[in-house]
Parts: sequence; C-alpha cells; structure tokens
Amino acid sequence: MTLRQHLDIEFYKLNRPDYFIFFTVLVISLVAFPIYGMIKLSPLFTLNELFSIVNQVGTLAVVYGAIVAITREFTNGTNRKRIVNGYSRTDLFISKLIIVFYYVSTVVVLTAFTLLVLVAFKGSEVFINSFPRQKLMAVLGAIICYGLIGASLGAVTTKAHRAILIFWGIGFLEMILDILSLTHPFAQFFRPLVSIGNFTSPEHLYTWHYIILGLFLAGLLGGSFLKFKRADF
Amino acid sequence: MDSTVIKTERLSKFYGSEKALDNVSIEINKGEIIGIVGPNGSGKSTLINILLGLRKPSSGNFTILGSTSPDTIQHQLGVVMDRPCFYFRVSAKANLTISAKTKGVGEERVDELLKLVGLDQTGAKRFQDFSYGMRKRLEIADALLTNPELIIMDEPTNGLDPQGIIFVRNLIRRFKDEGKTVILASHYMEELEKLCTGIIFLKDGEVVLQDSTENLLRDHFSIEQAFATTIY
Repeated sequence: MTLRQHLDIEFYKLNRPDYFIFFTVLVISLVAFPIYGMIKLSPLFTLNELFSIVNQVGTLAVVYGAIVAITREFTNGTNRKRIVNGYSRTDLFISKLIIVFYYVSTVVVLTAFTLLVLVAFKGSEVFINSFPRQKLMAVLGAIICYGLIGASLGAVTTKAHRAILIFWGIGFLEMILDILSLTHPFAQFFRPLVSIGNFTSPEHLYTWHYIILGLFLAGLLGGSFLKFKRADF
Repeated sequence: MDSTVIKTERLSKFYGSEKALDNVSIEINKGEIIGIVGPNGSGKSTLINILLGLRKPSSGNFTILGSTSPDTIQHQLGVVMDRPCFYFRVSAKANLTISAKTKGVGEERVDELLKLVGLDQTGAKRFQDFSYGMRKRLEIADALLTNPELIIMDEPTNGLDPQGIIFVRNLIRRFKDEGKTVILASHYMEELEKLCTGIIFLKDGEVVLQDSTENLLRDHFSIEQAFATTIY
C-alpha cells in the first residue's frame, strides 16, 4: 500500500458534491457574515484588516475541521480497517496530514474568493491600497499551523470532544501566561496560539515567539505520530 | 511446503496491570476451520486484533501466513470484524470501492460481491441508514474482495437474521470445500460444532483446551458440554 493509494482514497472520499456544498456554506457563513458586518459598521476598511479578521474567524473552522477529520476515522473504526487492509501506520498518518493541508488550503481559497466577491459588491467603500500578498501568506501559514494542531490533537486523543477540550485548555493556559507575563515578561513567549494569531501582525513577534512555537508544533506533531504508531486500535 | 498458517508462541498482552492474554501458543494449519470460544473478556478479540496488527503484543511472537508483520500479507487475508467499520455517510458501493482501492481490486469485483451479499439494490442509501444485518453483510463482502486464503471472522453471525445466518454458514462451508483456512470467534456453540474442524477454548486470556471437533465430540455429548466442563 503506497502513500499515493492512500491519497487516492482520501480524495475519492472528498470528491462528493454534498461535502463540497456543506464545506462552502460553512466557510462562507463563518467568514463572510462577520466581514460584511464589519464593513457595514466601518466603511473605510483595508483589505489588510479584513485578512486579520479572517485569520481570527478561520481559526475555529480549521482547528475543529481538522479535529473532526482525524477523529471521525477513529469513531467510524475506518482506521482499523485501513490497518487491517495493509496500510502502514506512518503512511496513514502522513496521508491524514496531507488531507488536512488540502482542507486548510481550500479554506484559504474559499476565504479569498469570498473577500473578492465582497469587495466587488461593496466597491469603493472598501479601501484597497495594494494586494496584501504578505497578509495572505501569513493567513495561510497561520491556518496551516492551526490545521497541524487540530490534526495532532485529534490523533493523540482519538475523540473530538477531548481534542477540543485540550485546545480550549491550551487557550486558557495562555490567558494565565498573559497575566503572568506582567511580572515575568518571558512568559509571553510561551503562548503559541497567540503567536500564530499574530502572523498577520509580525511587528508583535520576536525570535523567541517563533522558537517556542516551532518547539510546540514539533513536540505536538512528533508526540502524536509516536502515539499513532504505537497505539492499539 | 509448510502448512502452518498461524503460529503464536507465548503471546501475552497486558493493559496496564490487567492481563488480557497470557502465554498463548497455538498453531493453525491450512484448510482448518478453527473456532475460538470463551466467555466475554477471555481474550478472543485481543488475540484476533494482535494477529491483524491492530494491537501490539506485550511479549511473545507470532507468524501469520509465514509473515511476522500482518501488513505484508493483506491480499491473502479477509477479515470480518465484530463491529463493521465503514464511512457512515456514503453508500455500500462507495464504501466497498474505497476498500477495493485499498486492496488494488477492480470495481467489477465490487458489483459481484454486492450482489452476492444481497446489497446490490441499496443504491445511494447511506451506510448510517443500514440495519446491523446489512452492515454485517457489507463487512463480509469487504472480507471477500481479494478472494483470500485466510478468513478471520469475529462474531460473523451476530445480529444477522435467519437468512443471513444461513448465508454465512453456507459461505464458511464453501470456504472449507475450497481449502481455505477460517478462524471463527463465536458464542454460538452449535454453529462451531457444525462448521469447525477444531476448537480453541480461551479463559482469562489463557488457552485451556485446543483439540479437533472430532476428538471433543468423542469425549463429550456436544461442544457446549465440552465448553461447560472445561471452563466451569
């Protein structure tokens, strides 16, 4: 069983109209409505600011989407079947990550499309100074990080509700670290989710933010891979 | 030529301090239909899951179709799991096509098997809307995709209607005629008595008896009586 065959199956599963319609409606509802509301409130909006909002709103869709995509295979027992059918656990894990990348890239493309439609509709009310290439890359980077976090938590916990609780737990811990950073400034670097959120405002990020974030992602991904390799299904 | 299909040597599995399998050593030869029977929690499913590569043994060794790694012999292996595992929101055909892709089998085999198990008329109906019996039939079709040499069945008739039970039993008889090897974990003693050439009794993770059905029936009135005498 090759990685190509895994991906063939993953895309076969995704290649269905009902999935695509559900996915599109979800992303547009999560992204378009808040942006439309903001434009209504403040007509002088830059596309850069819009991307920052997308980054915030898109987070939930990507993290939860990645968690559900991974844990559903455990709930259905289809991971068991794939292993019985000869999949290597490594290939299975990698194919899941690739499919999460595909998923998050689709979110970004749909988001960008929604923004373009909104801009076209709102015309001069939205101020476009230049195409925000850097912001787009930052959002893509952030969404990929969120996708990796969601996929790793899903693989470690195997249950969607547990993974979501841990994700919230990390967010809560970061709030405590925020308070702690008032007396211990170094604590601010230990907030990987905040660091990812600041990709669109890199002026708030220092080298230590990137180092701690890199270690966090490597640890989470490596840990989940090892657990997946050794787990009883 | 070596006729051993499955061989385990002092296979043990612990969940924390809890013992699920304890020094299980068995040997199953080509063409045998072996029933594994034991009370709930006796280690039947754990043994099967280890043989399938789903669980790692705590100690001991095993070979299956001459391989120490189950993922290299999957084309020769068909599995009917205790709980049918498929994608909930897709049809029987789509689910079987996914499995066929996994196993490198053509789509014509999918149609053939859907007809064999009586699911060819289900159309776009989703797996989540299937009755348990239909799910089990799909699981059986999935196990037969590659026309395997070794078939492992965990409670294959559980949840089936009488017609389904007859179908599965006839299928096992056909496997027997074709010289295939079948491992059958079941609670139905009568079923095991009718179908199996040999029986393994498990209790608290240990093999308490392994013998041919013929020998057991020579010494006991029935397999049920042999079980009751051995286990209790």
